Amino acid sequence: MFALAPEGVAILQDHENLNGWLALIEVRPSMKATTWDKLLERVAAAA
Amino acid sequence: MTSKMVVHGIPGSPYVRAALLTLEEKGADYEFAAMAPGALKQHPHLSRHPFGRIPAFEHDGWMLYETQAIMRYVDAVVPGPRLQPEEPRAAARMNQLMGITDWYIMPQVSARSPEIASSRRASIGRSMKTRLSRLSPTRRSASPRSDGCSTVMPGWRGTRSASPICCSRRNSQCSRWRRKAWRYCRTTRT
Repeated sequence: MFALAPEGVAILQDHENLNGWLALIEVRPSMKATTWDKLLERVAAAA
Repeated sequence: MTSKMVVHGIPGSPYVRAALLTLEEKGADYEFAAMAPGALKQHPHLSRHPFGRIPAFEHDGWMLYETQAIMRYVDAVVPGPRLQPEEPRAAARMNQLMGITDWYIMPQVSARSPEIASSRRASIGRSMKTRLSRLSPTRRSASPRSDGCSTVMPGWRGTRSASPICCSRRNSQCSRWRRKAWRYCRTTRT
């Protein structure tokens, strides 16, 4: 989320290593399973 | 010791997501109990987390709160490769980074959000209360519902939360989060 915020984008643009790490983390199955959209699907399914 | 675990929280909260990520990484069987933003300072959530924050965690009726405590507990009790390094210096570095995130980054990010203002919080709280009062007692106690929070991201909870920085109304990123917040409110509406 930090990377999605305007403040985060501004801070991260000077840190290639951190950007690379974030890119690696973003593709992990656990990250994909816990996105806002996925959680919304869970909420809708449970309602 | 891998019976079902429950995470109580609001989609969009980075702290809730941290707990969920740990469960996912460990391959644990868990349930996500979604809450409405206005339910944090009310019962039954206060019985789970006396400070009225998220996430709250439940394992066979045993309750735990504080994100890092939850993450470390899950890592300890769920079988599988450990998520935390055993080498002391590596573990210390991990702890340092977690501390930096919690104490320096997130408050800075949240503090710059003009949407995080006490008046707004009060307004949302009133809206939630009105909405909840319309529900039947059974429904109210079982699953608090939300409404009227279309301009604030679910999960927003003040200075320590990492709200995706609902920012200036001119900001497209903000608009994206608003849309998601609205969708969340809609899915949790009665």
